[in-house]
Amino acid sequence: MNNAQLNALLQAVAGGDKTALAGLYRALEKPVYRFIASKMNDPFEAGDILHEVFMEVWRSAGKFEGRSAVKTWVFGIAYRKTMDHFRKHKRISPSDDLPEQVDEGPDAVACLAAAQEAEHLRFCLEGLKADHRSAIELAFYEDMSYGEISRVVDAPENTIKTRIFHAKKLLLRCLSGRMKEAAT
Amino acid sequence: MTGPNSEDDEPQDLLVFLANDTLEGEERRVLEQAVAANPELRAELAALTAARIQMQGTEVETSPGEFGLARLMRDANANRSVTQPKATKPGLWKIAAIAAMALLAVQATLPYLNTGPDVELADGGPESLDTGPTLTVAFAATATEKEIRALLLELDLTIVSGPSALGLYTLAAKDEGAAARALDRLNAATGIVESVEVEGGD
Repeated sequence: MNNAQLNALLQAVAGGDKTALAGLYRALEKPVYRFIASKMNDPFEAGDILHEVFMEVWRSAGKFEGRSAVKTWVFGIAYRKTMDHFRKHKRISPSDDLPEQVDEGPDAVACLAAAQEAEHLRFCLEGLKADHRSAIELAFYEDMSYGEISRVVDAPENTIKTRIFHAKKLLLRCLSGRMKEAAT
Repeated sequence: MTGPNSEDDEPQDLLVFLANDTLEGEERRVLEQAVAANPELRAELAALTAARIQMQGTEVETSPGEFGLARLMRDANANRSVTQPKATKPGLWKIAAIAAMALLAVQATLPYLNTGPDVELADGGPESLDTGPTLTVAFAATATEKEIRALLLELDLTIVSGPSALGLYTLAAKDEGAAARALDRLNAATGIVESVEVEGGD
């Protein structure tokens, strides 16, 4: 569903159309849930946050001014709700488990092979710090530009570029390491 | 390699956005030139492109789906003008999921579900949308969410409550004619629907 279609649904939601709300939910439920669930250990909590997101959409659709894509706006709500949840439960966002190994660059062939393996990719994504992971996931799952990501997470574009830069470096290094490990 | 905020930014810092095809204008042109001239960058781009394809090919394992939609419709009916987020009832989604599991267990053992008026729905009774009749439906244990969703979309039905403790859903139709057509179609969908009855409209 493209942005014009999502926008039409959101306008109808603003007018109190529950069928349009259902349409918007069906169009965005899975990607928004994946975005939330990737930060949570509990799928039920992720489901609760998803519900809060669409209730916020229901209440606030009339405030949408069209300055961003509808998907960007909804993901922004999802990001804020998830961060609120972390703050409320005083949870620390996952730390970066990957050691900084500045002495060795990633092996390009190994990276490519590992990137094609879902298990290696999942492992390496899970090892990224939350901010880095969010940026990479929005770029690769949702094909967002750095400008759109900056609006979702309410951070300057240069901050997003920095996060993506580090996330990419750590991701490729991890993928390369996984393939080398598998080979030995 | 330098960081993207330093004065001597390297174009390859934005390689991720070439991989997802969102980079535009001068940034794209400069980076494409750099990639064309540098085999290491081409290899990095290939790895990032492969990672993106792999990620987009991964299915979302378990999302609330239609159960989440039923919950949303129920709460949307009750809440429109409140500006403060409604407090989430702890474990509500968990209860719905447990009820869904109960549905599977009950349907696996009972050949027929009693849908008479003495059946109590999880929410305390059937809800209806603003107008129109509702149908009370028990889905087959073997029905997948995809099949159920396709059927509901085909008939333009909306889940307004459920599953109850017995796994019953209340579905809203737009009018009597739509309800009658839905009744016929649902009765014919023997692999997906276990039982169905119309509750009547306003």
